Amino acid sequence: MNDGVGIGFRKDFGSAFFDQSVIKPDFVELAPENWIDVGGYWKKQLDKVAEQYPILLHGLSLSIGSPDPIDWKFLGKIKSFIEEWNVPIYSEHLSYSKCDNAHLYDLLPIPFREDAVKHISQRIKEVQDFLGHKLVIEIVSYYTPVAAEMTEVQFINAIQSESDCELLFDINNIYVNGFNHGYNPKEFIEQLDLSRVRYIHMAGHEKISDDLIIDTHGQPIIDPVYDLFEFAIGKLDHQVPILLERDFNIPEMGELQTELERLKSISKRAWKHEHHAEA
Amino acid sequence: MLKPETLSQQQKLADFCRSNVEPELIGTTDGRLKNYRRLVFSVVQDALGSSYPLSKNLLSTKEWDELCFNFFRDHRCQNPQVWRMPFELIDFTESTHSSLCEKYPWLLELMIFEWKEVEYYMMADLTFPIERSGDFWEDPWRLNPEMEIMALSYPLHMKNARFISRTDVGSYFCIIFRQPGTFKVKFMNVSPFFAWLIESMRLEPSKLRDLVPVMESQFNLTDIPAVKERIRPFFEKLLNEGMIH
Repeated sequence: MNDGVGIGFRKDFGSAFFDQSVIKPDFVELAPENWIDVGGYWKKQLDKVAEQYPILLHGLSLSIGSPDPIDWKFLGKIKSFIEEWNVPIYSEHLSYSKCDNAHLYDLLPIPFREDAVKHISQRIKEVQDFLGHKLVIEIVSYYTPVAAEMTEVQFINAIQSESDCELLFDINNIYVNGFNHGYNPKEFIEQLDLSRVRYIHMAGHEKISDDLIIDTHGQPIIDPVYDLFEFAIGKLDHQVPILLERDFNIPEMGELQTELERLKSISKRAWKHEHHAEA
Repeated sequence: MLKPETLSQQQKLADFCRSNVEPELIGTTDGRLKNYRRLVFSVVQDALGSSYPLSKNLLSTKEWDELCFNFFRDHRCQNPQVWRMPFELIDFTESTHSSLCEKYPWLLELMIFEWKEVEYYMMADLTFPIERSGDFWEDPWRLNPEMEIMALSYPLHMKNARFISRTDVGSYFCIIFRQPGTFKVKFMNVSPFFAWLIESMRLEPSKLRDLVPVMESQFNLTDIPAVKERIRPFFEKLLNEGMIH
């Protein structure tokens, strides 16, 4: 799967996906933690979704940056889920959500350090060996660095290079991080190895003070993030699927469809241009 | 291999998210750490509150908030699936909050009752027996595998938990099941007599013809025709609800 504009499938508005009268994504993304070993009503909904749409997975609990061991048993369930539903992309976060044998259920920032690079790269390689394909790792939003000894972009590039993983290019997160930590997101993007980008996420956020944005996925995408998206995909030499994330404060489906169409229009324009340029 | 300092920094941040005791971390931005505790703990509070709305309503706001706070600080949550995590609150409450359990003797049972509803609604599909055909008394009945009988000491399935008192203590039986087709989780109050009957059938598919004589001695029944008259409408109800096949 190399293109299309999809949306996160949430139980809150899942039924709107089935008649396709208002919202028409090209694919849907699921968090496997919400669906593994689930039956009954939600299993039926999952069956219906899978009949109509390709499914991509975006995990929450791998905790690739954790000091704790990887939960191979649960990863085995994710692998089975990937195989059962023929999932082309399984992505996860460059963060940690478990420590000292306790799950935290949210994404904590990893110290940008050389030893963390080695530790995480080794774990990514082990996960990739286990799954039999590359892991797609998301650049996460963060609100403070912790014990950093290198820049964020150096950290990401080092992990990508050492682990040979792919990149989930979350444009909103890059925008949020640029705002929160005072860097230019375009310069940040230009320093990444964009040949590794496999998937793009787009979302809204909430500015809670003059100097802090929280990555809520609860608002529409703002124009500066669309602008950054256009800039970013203009730098890619290949097409990738694009996802609209909306987790809270769910609007009318028509509004989400408008966002999907805007993303599709921008990407078509950028990639058509690239195609012509190549020709 | 992580260096001790890197490991320690990660542990301190994680511990802060669980305990709300602000740590000394290297190179953080002033005032930003608190966002992590707020975001992490709100996920946990939401998950606990949505799994145990009746228990939350039974306790005072202070009691509930303290329970959630202590749970996340002192317990190491084990399940990678956040919707399954609240199950871990039951054991934690029992082992660490004896004063709450003494104040509300039905609290633990209520939590189990509420968790059963979540569990049955979400659980993986089980294989159903083949549709039955045959004689009401002579052919074996099979239970919907997505059901069980709960033995309760308080009438949690019949009475608002806030209005339950110690005087309600007794012996209650309730069937919990996921209804085929609608996938709704339902509860049904049953007498000890029918609870025994269902439990016998759960152990193995049974013919009513074989069970009635056992019931006769078990419950000292004398008027067998009257018993049979009670069984038939009960079984028809179970059949209509998809609880037996």
